[in-house]
Amino acid sequence: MPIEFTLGLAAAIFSVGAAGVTFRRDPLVLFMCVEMMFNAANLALVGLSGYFGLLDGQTMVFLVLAVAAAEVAVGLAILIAIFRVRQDVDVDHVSELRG
Amino acid sequence: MGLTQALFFTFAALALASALSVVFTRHTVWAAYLFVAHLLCLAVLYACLSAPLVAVLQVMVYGGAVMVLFIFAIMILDASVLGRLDWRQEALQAGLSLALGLGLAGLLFYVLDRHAPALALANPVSASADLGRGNVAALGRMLYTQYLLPFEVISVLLVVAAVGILVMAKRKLED
Amino acid sequence: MNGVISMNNLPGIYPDLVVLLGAFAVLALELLWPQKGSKTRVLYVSMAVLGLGLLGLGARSWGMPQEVFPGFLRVDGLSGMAKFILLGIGILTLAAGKSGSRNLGLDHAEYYALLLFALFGMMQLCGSVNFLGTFVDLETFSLAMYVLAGFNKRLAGNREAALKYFLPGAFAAAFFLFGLALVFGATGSVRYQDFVTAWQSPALREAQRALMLAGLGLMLAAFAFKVGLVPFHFWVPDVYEGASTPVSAFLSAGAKVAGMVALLRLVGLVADPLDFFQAGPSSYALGRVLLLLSVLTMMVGNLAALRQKSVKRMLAYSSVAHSGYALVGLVAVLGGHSPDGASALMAYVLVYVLMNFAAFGLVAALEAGWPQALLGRPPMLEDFNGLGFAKPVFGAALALAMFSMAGLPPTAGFTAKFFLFKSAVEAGQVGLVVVAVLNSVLSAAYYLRLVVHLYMRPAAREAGLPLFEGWGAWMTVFCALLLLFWGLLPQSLINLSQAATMGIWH
Repeated sequence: MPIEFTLGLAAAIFSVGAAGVTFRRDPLVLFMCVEMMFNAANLALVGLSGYFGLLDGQTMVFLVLAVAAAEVAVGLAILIAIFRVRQDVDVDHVSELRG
Repeated sequence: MGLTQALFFTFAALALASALSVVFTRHTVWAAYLFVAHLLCLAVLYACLSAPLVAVLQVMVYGGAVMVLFIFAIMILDASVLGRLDWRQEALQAGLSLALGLGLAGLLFYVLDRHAPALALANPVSASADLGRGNVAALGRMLYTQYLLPFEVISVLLVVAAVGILVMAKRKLED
Repeated sequence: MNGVISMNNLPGIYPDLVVLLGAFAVLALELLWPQKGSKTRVLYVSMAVLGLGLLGLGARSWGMPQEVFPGFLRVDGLSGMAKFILLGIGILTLAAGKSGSRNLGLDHAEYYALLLFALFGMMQLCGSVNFLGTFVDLETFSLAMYVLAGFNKRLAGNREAALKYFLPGAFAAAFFLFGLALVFGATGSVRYQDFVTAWQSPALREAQRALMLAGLGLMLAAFAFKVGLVPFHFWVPDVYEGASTPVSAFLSAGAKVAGMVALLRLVGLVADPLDFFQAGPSSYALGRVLLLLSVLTMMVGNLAALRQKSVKRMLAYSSVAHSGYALVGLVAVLGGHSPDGASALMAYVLVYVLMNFAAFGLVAALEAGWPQALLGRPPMLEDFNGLGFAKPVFGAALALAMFSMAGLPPTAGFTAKFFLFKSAVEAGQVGLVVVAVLNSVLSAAYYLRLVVHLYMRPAAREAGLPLFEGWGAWMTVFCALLLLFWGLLPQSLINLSQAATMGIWH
């Protein structure tokens, strides 16, 4: 697999995720976009791992997977905690203290 | 073009398409389904990139655990609230985000397109260079020798996450 | 074998281990002492843990840089001083929350445990010499901080603060990770050492260099989020105001210390012993970006702070501005001319922590004395009216902290700023220093406004609002005395930070 292609794809997915984070207001979709960015980095690492013949990239992906999963769990817990207080989870509405 | 390559390019296109549709779909539930599709496409890509173990983990951790969390959250958080149309922000903000996203993509493409052939090893003699790719035993050995410290710190991180979720989820901490 | 961990390495990170074990012990104590009112004991245990960590740190000399986990963790003066500051921050945070912990809803074993876990992550981060290690440490302390920010569900806006902290934080983590992937692509390694080797190698191609800089740039952006530099600062005021006051103090001080040390190590990777600004077009771009960030952060932070009526919001914007000043030191480091850049930065960070806790400590003391009806209302400038005469000791301490924040002599704030700006002038950044000095003058306007409220406005009630004269208030006095001490005798502060930053580069 050409490494340029893998890295380009990773960069594209990363950018789509970043654009999504800035575009979307729905916190759940925001989380998905952030995860997408994590995944893009993972893809780049796996691709480079193969390219170099080094196992380091895959080992790092292994560790990153654990971190990302923990992060999602905490984020969703925060979201649900807010939802219990107010029955509305929209970042625009959350902001009562802007300025 | 071999089968692996055909698979890779097909699923690369699918991964990008599903990523885009997660961003552009209006409904949270659809976004979640498309996101699962995206994650599974990535798993196929990992398999093509001779990382079978990572591919399996991707399906289990992301396709399984993370997605269950998302679906669970959507169920709790009333899809009708989340699924509302989301394009109501001002044109300026939308334009700004688009510019940011495109700018970032442009920058990365520029750097990678011009410089990808220049990727090189700083120290070609690595302890693991001779290990087979995607070898589970080798990966495990690496994890428990060279990468032991981050591995242990991640175990702390998981405890932190567990305590944190408990704090957030408990209806009321005892007074 | 290189990279294998043995038990012999563990004494090198004794303070980190004490804090970590302490965190687990605190969680276990929750089971042993489940009854009400036992949480003060947990607080004392946490303080003892931090004290033990400080003792262990003091017993080791800072002078011998050593990689305790080769390729991952370094123990040197920089990490030593950072850990010293971080442990101090832990104790100060506990003290700030002591008097009002019931009011503030922080009186739970989970709070103390998360605080210790966050400190562990930060301490690890300060010694990390590996991009992957940095990422993992960053995530560890961030996860604990997100939850701490939203710990008190009784406060309106508290849980929202957690979300507002979480979203940019996770976004930043993704940036860091992608930067890590790019650096791995350029060098085939994630060790700082290999980065430096590749960077300085004559065989380095301009293309490789660009990729490394792009990766480093993404990582710097991630830390810019964490310490609240200007285009990435939007979450700071909402989170600081929404979180409980001791937690806000902890967020602003702890994240800034850890973030600044990490930034220092990252920038140090490309700091050129010759002349960074002439090394090449791509390096030049990075230097310019840091310079621009510094100017923007100072300006926006100070201008926004001028408009604030809420004290916590004002302090939030002021902390943004202070990150801008600290960046002046980083620019000096990048210039590579003066080794003083790093030591001035560390001295500034230490002084910033003291000023910050002096201010937040009194805000917490004020909140602790509030009647139930007022709970959850952010303290306003008017709430400090007449406090200077009603409580002369505490009022004077707060006024001194404000003078220090504005950078007026004879306080440590002046000393620290002086050395910071001096190092930048030596690195040839005169224009930047002029902007920074003008900003200091500007910032005096809002810091002194608080002093005006303290002394020249009549109290709304007879004796002003009740101030709880507990640990939080006395902590303000303690920090103010230290600020005065280092203002009058700056040499000890300079010696301390110079000893710490001696030989930190690889």
